[in-house]
Amino acid sequence: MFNSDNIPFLGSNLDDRTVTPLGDDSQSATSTNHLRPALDLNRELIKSPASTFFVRLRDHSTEAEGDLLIVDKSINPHDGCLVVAFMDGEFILKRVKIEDNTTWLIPANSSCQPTRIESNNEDTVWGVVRYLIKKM
Amino acid sequence: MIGLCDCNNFFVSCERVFRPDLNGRPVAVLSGNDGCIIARSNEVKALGIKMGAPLYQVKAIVQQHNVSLFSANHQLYSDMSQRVMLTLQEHVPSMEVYSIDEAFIDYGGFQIDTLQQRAVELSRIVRRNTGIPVSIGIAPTKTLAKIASRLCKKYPKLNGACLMYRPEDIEKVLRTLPIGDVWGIGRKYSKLLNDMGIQTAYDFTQRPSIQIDARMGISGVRTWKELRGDSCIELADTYTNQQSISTSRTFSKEMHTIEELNSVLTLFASNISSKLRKQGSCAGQITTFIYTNKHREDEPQRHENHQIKLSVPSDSTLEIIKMVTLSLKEIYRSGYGYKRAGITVSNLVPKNAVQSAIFDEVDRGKHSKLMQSIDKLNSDFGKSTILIASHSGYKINTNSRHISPNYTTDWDDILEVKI
Repeated sequence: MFNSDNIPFLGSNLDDRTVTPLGDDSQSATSTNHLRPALDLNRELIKSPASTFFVRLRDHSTEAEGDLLIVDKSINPHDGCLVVAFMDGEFILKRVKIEDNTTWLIPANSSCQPTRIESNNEDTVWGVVRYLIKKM
Repeated sequence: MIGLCDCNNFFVSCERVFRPDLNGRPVAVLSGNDGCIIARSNEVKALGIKMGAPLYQVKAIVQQHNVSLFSANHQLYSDMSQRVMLTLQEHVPSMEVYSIDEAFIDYGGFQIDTLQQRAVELSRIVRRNTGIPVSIGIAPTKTLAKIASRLCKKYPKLNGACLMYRPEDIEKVLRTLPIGDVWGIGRKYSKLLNDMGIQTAYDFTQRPSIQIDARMGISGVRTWKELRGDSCIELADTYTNQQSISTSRTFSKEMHTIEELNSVLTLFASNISSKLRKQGSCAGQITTFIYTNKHREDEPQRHENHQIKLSVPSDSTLEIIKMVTLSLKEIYRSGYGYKRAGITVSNLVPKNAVQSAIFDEVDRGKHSKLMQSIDKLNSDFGKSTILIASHSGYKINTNSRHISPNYTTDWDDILEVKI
């Protein structure tokens, strides 16, 4: 793991007019005699592997079709977050709005009405979206 | 104190995580080739459908109540099991994964009055993070913890956790618990104990230990002590101390010839031998069995098994296949349709503890090298690259018509959500 005290930032000591290039400092983490593994997206995007699931967005009418969601079941829904909800027998993407202790699920598609739910309703809120991976 | 975390109707719960529409509805999971019921939701239990019932026997009630059926999806169950175990690990100091859906938890050193609340909270976290409902029983011994976890399932008001430690509470529970329901007793001993006038777990604890020792030996005494609150089954390191390994299969079509059976059993023997080598143990005894279809009462029945004890415990595919083939020749009779066959290797010992017999006919050094080469080729080029000749490429058909998507292990199968 990184120890932020030891990592020299490029240009962080410009005041002394001595720029420390990364990896060229005997004090730096990079000088220890081993190579770091390449960056791993899993580690960056998945904080809790046991509770994280991948979900595919299905909406043939828009560009969102096929987008990938990284959903974490361990997170409590908070105001403004996107959630995968289970309503009327299907999984549907909703935005959470919390107002005066009342939790609303706002449809991404504005033509539908918001739904009021009990807070922390795990039967309705399946998981909280942490990342959305969009295909360009 | 020891906890047991047991996943409620685990296979069914795994399916329901991705099918919330099935919550509150009857769901059952079927064995490998859709033969028997191997997991039931509470609704299915309430319909009186028994564990292990062959599907065709309960077909009418399944249709009448619109029971949702799934073929066992072991990919999914194994992934969900890992998620549950990982979640537990993050929240307890040490634990022993006991089976795909059970783990013992070490609650030593905690204040007793905090345990109930802790377990309720842990149960809630596992449920929220993985979607799998669990029951956590806490008691002074493993055997009692198992009983406590069953109580959680019986009483939903306990919120998935049950602390059972006061002697008077334990006695009350044991007085109503049939002895056959106790961990480690089993059907065989349960009948024997009933014949001795022991009906409940409490009856059992009231007998002198000499009496138990005489009928059941040391393992019986261990259960007796554990039920009396005296902990004697330690928390083990995961997956060690395995006493036996089995492989068996119910065939989709009955087998009639010795060649067919030999080819299947040879395949099982290869798999089991390579498992032995992987865990670094050798088997001292090999049991081979072949069963006819017990549900076809109109057909002649045979249930045969044969054991061979090895003078020197072995992990060699060649040697184990040889023994299995010998056993098969002993028990096979023509004119029967065999529906199920399998192998169990037992009396396992660590490989480095194997002492060779004076009259050992097998060149162990040579065998060992050959086995290493086979394992390497099979791992480099895929399982079954190198087979022992008698496998003959017979394929076991598995019908899994109701299998669910691999939601967590296949990109094409992941959950889908609409906008």
